[in-house]
Amino acid sequence: MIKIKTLIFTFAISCSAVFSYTVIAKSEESNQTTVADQVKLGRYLFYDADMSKDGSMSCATCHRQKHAFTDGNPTHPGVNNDQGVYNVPTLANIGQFQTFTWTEQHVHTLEKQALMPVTGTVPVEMGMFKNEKEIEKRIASNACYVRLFNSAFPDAQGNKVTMENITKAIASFERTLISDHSIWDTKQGYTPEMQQGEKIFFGKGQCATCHTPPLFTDQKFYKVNKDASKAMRTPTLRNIALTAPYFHDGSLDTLKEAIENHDPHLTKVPQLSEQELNQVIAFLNSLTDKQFISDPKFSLPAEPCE
Amino acid sequence: MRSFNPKFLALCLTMGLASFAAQSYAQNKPEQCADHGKNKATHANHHQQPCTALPTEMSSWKAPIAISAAKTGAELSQSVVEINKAVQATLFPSKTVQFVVAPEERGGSVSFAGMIQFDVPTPGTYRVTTDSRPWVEMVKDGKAIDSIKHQHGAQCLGMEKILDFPLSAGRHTMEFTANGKETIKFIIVPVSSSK
Repeated sequence: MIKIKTLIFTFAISCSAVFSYTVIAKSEESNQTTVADQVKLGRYLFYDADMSKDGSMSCATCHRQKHAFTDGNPTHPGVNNDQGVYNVPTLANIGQFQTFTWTEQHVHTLEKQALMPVTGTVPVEMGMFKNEKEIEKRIASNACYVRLFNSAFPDAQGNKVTMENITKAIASFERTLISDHSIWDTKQGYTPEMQQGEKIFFGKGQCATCHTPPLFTDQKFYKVNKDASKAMRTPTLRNIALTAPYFHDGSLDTLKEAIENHDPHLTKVPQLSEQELNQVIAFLNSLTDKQFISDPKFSLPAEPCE
Repeated sequence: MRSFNPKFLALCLTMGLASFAAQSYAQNKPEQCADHGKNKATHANHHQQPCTALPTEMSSWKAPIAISAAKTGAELSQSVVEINKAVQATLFPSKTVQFVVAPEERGGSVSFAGMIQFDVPTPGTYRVTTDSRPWVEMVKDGKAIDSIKHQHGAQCLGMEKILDFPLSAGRHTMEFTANGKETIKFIIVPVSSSK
């Protein structure tokens, strides 16, 4: 009798274990599918200019893949032609960041940051302040988008095309923008000059004090020269050869100028010789990831969502 | 029995509330117009500047020729313009235009788009000036040509965007997309010729 009870008990435990494992596995699979659907939706939204007042600007207008998701200009004007204030920062590896603005504005989630250019007023960028409902209306009028929202947010009740879900989807896509295949990462095509530059970068140059790998930023805020009125976040140096012009206002055209504008008294960056500067620049060029700027997974979808 | 000093308690509460209020303000404070340091030109653009005179070669800017842009490749032959002559082109809802080459920017459902063609007599750099901020896709022989320079136009003259393109001789197609208005005024002028 005891043996039978033991057998039944053991059998019941085994069934529970198998059942639990199956439920957890299916739940994880379902989770992964949901995230993948959010990424797909987020990519369409990232490239959709219906996020702006007159349909002229999408996230990708300023964050262009071939410029490592910057735009190659000092700043970018908004829909009302307001002059941009800050240089467009890259989105490379943005999912691993904790701060998302040039100055410390306590913006610590991608979802919150995604809303800033859409509804910001100083300056006006995409011009949808107090007009988020219009974005929701435009997006919801597209049956393709409604299907994608249903897949991406299966547990959401009621209307799923909300600004909250829009920013969640965009943030999900942005988290896939990973750049880790540079020449420095793979060491393919890594030249002696780049190697010498690396020694200076991590040694005498003191660059890695703030531009710390693997992100090449410590995400802290500093004034790097006496002209600076505010402390600015250390920018990442990944793909830096593609993201000119430089500094928070895009005022410097070359890497040489950018390095030379680090005040030694404020940053510990010493005066470097011409040769040393060229070697450091060679190293910085090795942080270019050609795969990142051409990966079709990050590009404008071949067809619009229709 | 211990008891709290009420004045000390009130001080702590006040300091706590003040700290909370300050933090909330900092979190919601929008980006302010920053000191641009060395980039004085960018900083100056925030404020009114004296208006520049209209260059002689762009005198037609004041009296553009009105045309309808093309919606499809087949209509392009009816939308050919000349360089050095300003044009006011009527555009179409972006989603209705069939581009010869898919542009990098599609434009939202509320934006406008269209195509025109023009002939380049001699190879060189050509400047396109527009009265709005469309995406401009320059195409020749089925391939897009990247711009080599991007500037802001003199707003007082109604110029918003200026792009320079390196062009070879022959017929080019220009695609305007993501334009916020139903019409676009533009002019194409040579900047320099190639040797």
